Amino acid sequence: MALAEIHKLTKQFGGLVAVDSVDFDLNEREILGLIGPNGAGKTTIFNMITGIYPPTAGEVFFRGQCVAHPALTWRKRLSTPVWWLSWLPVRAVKQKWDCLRSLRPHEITVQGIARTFQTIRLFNNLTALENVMAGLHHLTEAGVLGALFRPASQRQEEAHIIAEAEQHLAFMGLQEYRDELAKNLPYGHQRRLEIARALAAEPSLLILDEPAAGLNEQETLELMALIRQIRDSGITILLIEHDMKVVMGICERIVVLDYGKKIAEGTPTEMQHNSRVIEAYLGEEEV
Amino acid sequence: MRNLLSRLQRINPLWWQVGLLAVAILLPLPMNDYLRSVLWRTGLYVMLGLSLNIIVGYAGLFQLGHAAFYALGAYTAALLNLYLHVPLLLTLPMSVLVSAIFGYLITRPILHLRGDYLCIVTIAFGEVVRLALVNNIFGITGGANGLSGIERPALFGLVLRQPIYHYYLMLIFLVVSLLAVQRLEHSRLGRAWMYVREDQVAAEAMGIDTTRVKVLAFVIGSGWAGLAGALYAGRITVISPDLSKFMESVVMFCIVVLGGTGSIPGVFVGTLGMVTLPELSRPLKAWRDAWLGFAMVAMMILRPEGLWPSRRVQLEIRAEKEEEPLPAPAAGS
Repeated sequence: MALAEIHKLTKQFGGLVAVDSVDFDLNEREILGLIGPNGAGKTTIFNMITGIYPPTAGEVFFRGQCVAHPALTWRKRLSTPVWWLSWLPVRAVKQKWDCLRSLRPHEITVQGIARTFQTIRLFNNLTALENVMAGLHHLTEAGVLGALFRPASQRQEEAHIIAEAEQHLAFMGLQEYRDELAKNLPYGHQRRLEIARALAAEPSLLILDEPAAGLNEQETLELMALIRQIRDSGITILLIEHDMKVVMGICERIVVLDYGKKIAEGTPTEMQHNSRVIEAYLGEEEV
Repeated sequence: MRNLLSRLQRINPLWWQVGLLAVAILLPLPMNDYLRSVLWRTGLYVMLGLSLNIIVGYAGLFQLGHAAFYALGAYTAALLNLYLHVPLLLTLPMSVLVSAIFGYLITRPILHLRGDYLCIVTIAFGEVVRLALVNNIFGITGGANGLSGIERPALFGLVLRQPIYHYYLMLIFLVVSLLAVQRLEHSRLGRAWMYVREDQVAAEAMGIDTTRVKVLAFVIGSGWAGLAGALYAGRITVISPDLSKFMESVVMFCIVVLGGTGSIPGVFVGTLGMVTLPELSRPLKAWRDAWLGFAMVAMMILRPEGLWPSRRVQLEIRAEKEEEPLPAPAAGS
């Protein structure tokens, strides 16, 4: 079974249909590229998968569970018996209700989807290590009492968080920048730090929004190697990228969008020869 | 100067902490009762500042109605004491609880608001509490005159009448508050607050339940203000709806902002400027509102990060002038 299924996903912003009934599947341990001209709706799809906004129609299933779903109107909520019971601490009811509502972004991360952003969104005034520690937040549980009384379990957990975060930094080759503020890092390192932070959340699906934007040749090559390495560690990768060298170099499958619609899907070589793809990128040939 | 500072920083923090505590214990001894009351009041506002600092400084949420929770704590203590004759020190947990519960109920529905919008709602809430108290809600709050005749707190049969006893009582709670706030700051929860303050969308995408984290900041901060309110009721024995007036909230907010948001020493500096100095020189107190406005304008121009800022906030505000902007990423969809 596919790891994630995007089913008839649609998003309307007022009169503009940004994403129009897009379907595709993500298989376990593959690198899928999502490409298309500017404004094709790629980032919108990412934002719907990660719960930043709900789709107008369609669903996203992740490991068979519905994670994104059109927002329920109040009328619909009131007429749904499960909504009335959703406060009950009964697992069966909770599961039913989870199928009906869309999960919030942090709940989706807990399910195992982590992402980076097109415009880097690091915690600028925190150190690289602290940034990566953010990813471990949902895997740990110390609360107010833990903070105030610092029992042994809490101290162990803190040590564990730091050790894990250091490992992720080292994996992305950033260990020497551990105590550097995120905003003081060079641009390419910031991109990698963002990936390290996402990896710290231990996702099974990693969503990368233009990871190579603004990188030079050398950095891009390093990034491609890293992405392959991440995939080899068992993580599925979905990426948006404009740099065709990256897309053709690492993606196993490509989905092409244009004006919110999926126009083609297949291997990189197939896409290079697909007339609709060429048309979307270069314009229609005049006869 | 810089050399001296860096050398001071290398001293084990425990030494100057113990030193400061010793000073705090010995300070009131040679003073008269008036100065001791001023010291007590300083402690009270430091505590309020610390509680507001959790909300404004750590979680980055604007709260301009903090005095409402202070008043709620004071009224809870007073009502329990006057109607049910609960000894004042035993009312403290209830004051904390009531303020914390109100903190939850009031902020939960408005948490999705950001920045100035949140600020306006909290101002309105402070006024609602004040007007409810003025209008003698449920017929028990004594209207505009407030409540009087609250018993003084007693500890093992020793009734705390002298200002110096109250000062020491305040000092105990202050030390506990300081320890607690410091521990909260350097914990998983404290980090979560920083993440939310820095970038809420990214924090959410990293699996942090931002609503829960923000609610916790409000609940803890409000509960703490309630504690300060109860201590106030025990010391002054007369409370009125003025506790919740807008100016009180502004003073607390200024303590945090003038001292440096998110900074514990900043709260002390802010309190000295906003409460202690005006109290010590009466003419200044009469002019405090004017001085407050002037200080705000001057601070925004000269030291926007506060008098004793936390390292991070200083970086945040100063950096923009010194550093070149990062290269812009390639445009995309």
